Amino acid sequence: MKKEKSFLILLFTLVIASSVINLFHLIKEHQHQTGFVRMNQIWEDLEMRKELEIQLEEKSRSIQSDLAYLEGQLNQKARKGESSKEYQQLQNAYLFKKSQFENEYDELAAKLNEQIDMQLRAYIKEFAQLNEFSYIHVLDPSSSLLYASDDQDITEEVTLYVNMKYQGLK
Amino acid sequence: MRKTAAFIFILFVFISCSNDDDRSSQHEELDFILPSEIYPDKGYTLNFSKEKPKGFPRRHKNIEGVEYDLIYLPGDFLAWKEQQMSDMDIPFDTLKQQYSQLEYYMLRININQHGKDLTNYSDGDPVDNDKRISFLAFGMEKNIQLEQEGLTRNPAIFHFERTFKITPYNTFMIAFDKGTIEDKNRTIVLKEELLNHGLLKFSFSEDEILKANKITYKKKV
Repeated sequence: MKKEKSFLILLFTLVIASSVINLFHLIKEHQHQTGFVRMNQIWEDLEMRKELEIQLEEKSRSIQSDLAYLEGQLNQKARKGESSKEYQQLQNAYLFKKSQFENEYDELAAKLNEQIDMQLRAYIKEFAQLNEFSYIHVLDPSSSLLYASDDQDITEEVTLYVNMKYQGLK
Repeated sequence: MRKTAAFIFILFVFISCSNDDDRSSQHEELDFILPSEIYPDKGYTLNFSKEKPKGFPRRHKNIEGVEYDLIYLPGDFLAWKEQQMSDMDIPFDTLKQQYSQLEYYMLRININQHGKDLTNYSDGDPVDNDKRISFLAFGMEKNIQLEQEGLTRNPAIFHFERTFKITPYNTFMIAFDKGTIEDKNRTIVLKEELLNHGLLKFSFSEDEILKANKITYKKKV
């Protein structure tokens, strides 16, 4: 009889312990998991940005070389002492080309920035959903978040995920 | 009394453990896709075993609601599929031989909008739609490459399957010359211009490709 009683007490304790664990899991599941990222750091370590910046640099180099050629022609005309009308025409053409190239460069930069932004948002959203985050905040001088505890900082994890996702490894 | 108490305890323990298992198994299956999911109307059954993958390696991206799926399709599967569909009695080995020269990938782009696909996703005029179709059929090929350690290869075959807006997705079959591909990991790079999503990369490990090639197919009876 005594043996049976102690067995029942033990069993009762185990059931209570198991219920507590279950309850803990349940609360954890329904809690809003939040974290914050330092966007500047993500931007700095972003593989996609680094690759696209090479594209931009190439464009810039090609523009510089075209402009240098035109500038050379302009200087040649100036040295030969050609009439001011002709020189003026060439100078106008040079300025027109320069502004055209600058516009092209700006357009490409805006296009690439948009591409980075779209992919970055998509991968962060995926990271949040996969890891059950309800909110991911941005902590930088311009954000409305004034303080966040360091243990909520998920910048490294997000950067790693975004880079792996960009490389197509996930 | 003792038995009832023991049963309640076991039930509690079981409930405590079950949730986490579900989550991990879902994550494991993310990288694979079954042929029946790619071709839902065909009802294919393949011989998968424990050592072989659960399906074909797949990489998925969702950018602004547009879903990109790139799936590696073993040549043997395509040979087997052709044999299943064909009325002619072509030997399986002959078809296998025909498909053995190239490495095949299927790219599926799903716009997720009812009655729309890549050809008519925005409300442009019909000329814009025609230009898009022309780009998808002929221009996009130039924007796809297979990359291995900095070296790139262009597709040997590129085919845009038109579905005439019946499906919200578009399918592209892409194949690369096997002779130029090394036994290393490969990345398929798509320079996406139509929706301005930029460079989209899909990487496959050599191991994944080898495992998928080990899937065996039931011969047509």
